[in-house]
Amino acid sequence: MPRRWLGIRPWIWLATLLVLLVAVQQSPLGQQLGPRVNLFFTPLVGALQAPGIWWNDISQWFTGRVQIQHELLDLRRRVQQQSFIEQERDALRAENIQLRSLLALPELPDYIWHAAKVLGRSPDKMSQRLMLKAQMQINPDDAVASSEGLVGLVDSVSGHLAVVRTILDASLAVPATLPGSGLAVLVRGQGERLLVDFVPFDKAPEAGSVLVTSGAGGIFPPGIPLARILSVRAVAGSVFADVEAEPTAHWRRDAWLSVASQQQQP
Amino acid sequence: MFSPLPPVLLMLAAVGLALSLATGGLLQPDWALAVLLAALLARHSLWPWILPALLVHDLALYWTPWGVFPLACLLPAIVLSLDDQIGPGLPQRMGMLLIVSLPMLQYGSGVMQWVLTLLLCAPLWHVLARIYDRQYA
Repeated sequence: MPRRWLGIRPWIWLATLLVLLVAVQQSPLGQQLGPRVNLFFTPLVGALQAPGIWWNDISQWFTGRVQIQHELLDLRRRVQQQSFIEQERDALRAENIQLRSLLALPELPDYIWHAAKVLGRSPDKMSQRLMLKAQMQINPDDAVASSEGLVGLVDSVSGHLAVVRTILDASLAVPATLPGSGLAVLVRGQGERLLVDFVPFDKAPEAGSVLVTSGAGGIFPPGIPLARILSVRAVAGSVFADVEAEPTAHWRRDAWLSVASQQQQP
Repeated sequence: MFSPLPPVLLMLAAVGLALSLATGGLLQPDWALAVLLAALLARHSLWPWILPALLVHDLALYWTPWGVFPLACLLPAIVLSLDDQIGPGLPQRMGMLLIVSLPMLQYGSGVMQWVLTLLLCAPLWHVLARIYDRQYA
């Protein structure tokens, strides 16, 4: 007599399972399951990190008073510098709006930048996905950047917690350009490297050049460093070159990242 | 007879999964996978507990159900079938452990991480098998 599991033949179980897995993978709900499961685990991840945070807080009590005073003075100086930069930025923004109105160009969306703590990372070598915790509300499709460059895009949000797909994720493509050139390319993730699409071979940037976001599409703010070109190879019979790049940002060691939320238009 | 071991193993796996996510940048074994595979190898009848947990593991770490889960579904059936054909033994179990954990490499884990997971899984499997043997003796 053939073997049965719970009265049903094993191959029926396996076929049902296969169909279920395909259905889960293909459905829009199924594609959101991964980020949702990540969000579900964030409280436990936070609880596991709590002892480390307590240790850090306690060790600060024992840090030298002089060192803290130096750090405070340094921070005050930086805040002052930052306020000058912000004033200059506001003046430039006003000028930009004026010039755009003169040229009858559409308004670029404004972005509000705020900091978010990195709560967790996917355990693959390049940490293709991140979990963030912010003080302000994060929205899906907000851009995430570090001080070195673009990191990725917010995928799912639950309160102040968010799951981020980094630019190494194959599902993400970022419009980019080379500063000072008319190049318009698309940078997409490929696991551990980035591929740069639509680069004409005769206009291909040299290895070591840095591509920045072009702002096309309105999702990513323009001018953020994105990828450093590693290699450019000609492809026989194609006008476009095979270009490989690496991210300029190194989010595997950053504890804090910036989130750019698009300002809501009144 | 109710055994508290499966819920305890699931809790350990959940903590392991959170640990993998919390310290993703470090070289470490896949804690949850090691616990779950060790439990499945130690006692095949635990599959109703272990397989859903492996599905959650795949969804949390790889964002797809096509990671370790489909191969792990085959593990109890293949091991039982091989036991029938060539007699119960360790080689088929070791072979299945290697095969089932291979998708880790496909989803971005390094070889070192894979080896660490296997090295964690083997002693856990031994300990769990001894605990179950004592229970049923």
